[in-house]
Amino acid sequence: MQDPLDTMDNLIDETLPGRLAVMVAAATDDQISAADVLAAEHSLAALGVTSLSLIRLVDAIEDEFGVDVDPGLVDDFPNLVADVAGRLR
Amino acid sequence: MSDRVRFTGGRAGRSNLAWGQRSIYEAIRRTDHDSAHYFNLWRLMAMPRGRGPYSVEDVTSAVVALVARHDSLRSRITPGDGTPVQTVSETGWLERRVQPSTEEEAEKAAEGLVLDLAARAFDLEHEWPVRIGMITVGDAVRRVGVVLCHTAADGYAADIVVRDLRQLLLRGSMTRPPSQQLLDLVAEQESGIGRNRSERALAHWESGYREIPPVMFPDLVAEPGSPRWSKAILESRALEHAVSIVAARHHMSTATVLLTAVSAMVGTITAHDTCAITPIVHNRFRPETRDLVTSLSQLGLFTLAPDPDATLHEILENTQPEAMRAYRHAQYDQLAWEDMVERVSAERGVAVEPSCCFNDMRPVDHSNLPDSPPGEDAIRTSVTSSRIEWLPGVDHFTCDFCFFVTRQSGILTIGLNADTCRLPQSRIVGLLRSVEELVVESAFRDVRPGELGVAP
Repeated sequence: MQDPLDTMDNLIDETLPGRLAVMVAAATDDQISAADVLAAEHSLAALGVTSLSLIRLVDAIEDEFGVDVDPGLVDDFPNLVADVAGRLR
Repeated sequence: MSDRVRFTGGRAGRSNLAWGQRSIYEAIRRTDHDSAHYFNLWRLMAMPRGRGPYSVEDVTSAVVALVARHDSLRSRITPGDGTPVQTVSETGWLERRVQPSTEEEAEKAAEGLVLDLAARAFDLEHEWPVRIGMITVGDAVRRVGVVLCHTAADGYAADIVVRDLRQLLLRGSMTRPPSQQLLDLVAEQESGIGRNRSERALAHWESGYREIPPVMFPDLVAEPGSPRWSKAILESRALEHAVSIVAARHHMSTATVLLTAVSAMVGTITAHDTCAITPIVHNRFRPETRDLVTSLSQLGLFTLAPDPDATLHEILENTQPEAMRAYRHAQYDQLAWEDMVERVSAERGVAVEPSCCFNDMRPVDHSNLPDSPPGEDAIRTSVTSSRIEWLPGVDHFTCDFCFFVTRQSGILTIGLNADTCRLPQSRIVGLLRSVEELVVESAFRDVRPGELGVAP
């Protein structure tokens, strides 16, 4: 039987970036695709995520995961994923 | 003709005031009655083209449906025992004024009517927060004006109100309820989620309030002008184009560029290590606030450490995270905020009140970049056509420095309402001009705020 903690880690590792990318897309009213966000070649602002959308994203993360991320530091998607993952552990 | 219209429909209820309402309520309470109409908002509705004609009864039915639709428009406030309470009514009365006009005079008459309706403060306890004006030509209504009390609506909500009124006039009813209602907002703010949100916001404020200058313009440097609080605006096509170019380069909103530019210029005329400025934040980030009618705006706290060697571009690169924190932490329990200010002031031994605010009054969605901004020569040339205009000021006011952004005749307009004992009129004009110059220059080259002079 798998260690439940491992399963939890896998779940976060496998799905968190995907879920967050979908949330970023939703925060922009799908003007930016989750695929572009996941590619992480650019900062979110460079992709066209406005400050209004970034705050909306922080609110959505709070509602969904119950964690509060610093709105000043969410612009870099890999960092955002790492930050949320860290707070969920 | 002035009369009262009976409304009926919608639910009844009682609650505390929402946070944003409470902040406006306290501001009104501190203002003498003769100036309290300052807190009224008004809008003229664009009549549906090619439809109608609409009779006074048609418009009145739409108004009744509008008021039934939004809790906020049926709410009155009683002072209570130190804690104000609002009662949302199922039925009540609204003031309606109908004024006949000619086709040629209708537009002007409508403006006069709505300003007249807005020139009187609302009686918060006995009057519902909506007044309606109609200009008729023959039997047809040509223009509709709506006046709202600021405890019931902010600028964004006023736009929702006229949008809904127009829809109701066109279609008779709206099938989808508003995304959220006032009474539900109050319940959310009083829940654990709301309290946590407020505490986090206040933590941001408190750490800032321990560091910032107690007041941004402490020195009385001149005799009072007439009036003491003078209000100037600068209408500038050059700024409109330049701010879009700078905002696009930094992937930020034009509001954040202007907030930063103003803070940086204030840094050049004051001697503080940190500039503190309080932007009025619309708080329309969550989807459920999309068509919520209430006064949701509250102050945020933005700080900037002036760096004489940094160009505006360098400042902007560093400023975005702080701006985001300011925008995010602008929803809080107003009374808890006042307690925090009192506590920190007592600890510092000085009243902390920067008295330096920034209000972007443009509609929330203003991120559209012009398709192709004109070239550098055209933008620089258009600076010569931007002009200063003085608006009526007042002799008593609560804030030393209110910078605002609006749109006038379709042109981006920045304005400053300031205490002339601290910023004489020449300095008010100098500051507006220097913000324009800083942003216009930064659209094409690197410029340091300190390079630009501000008239004393």
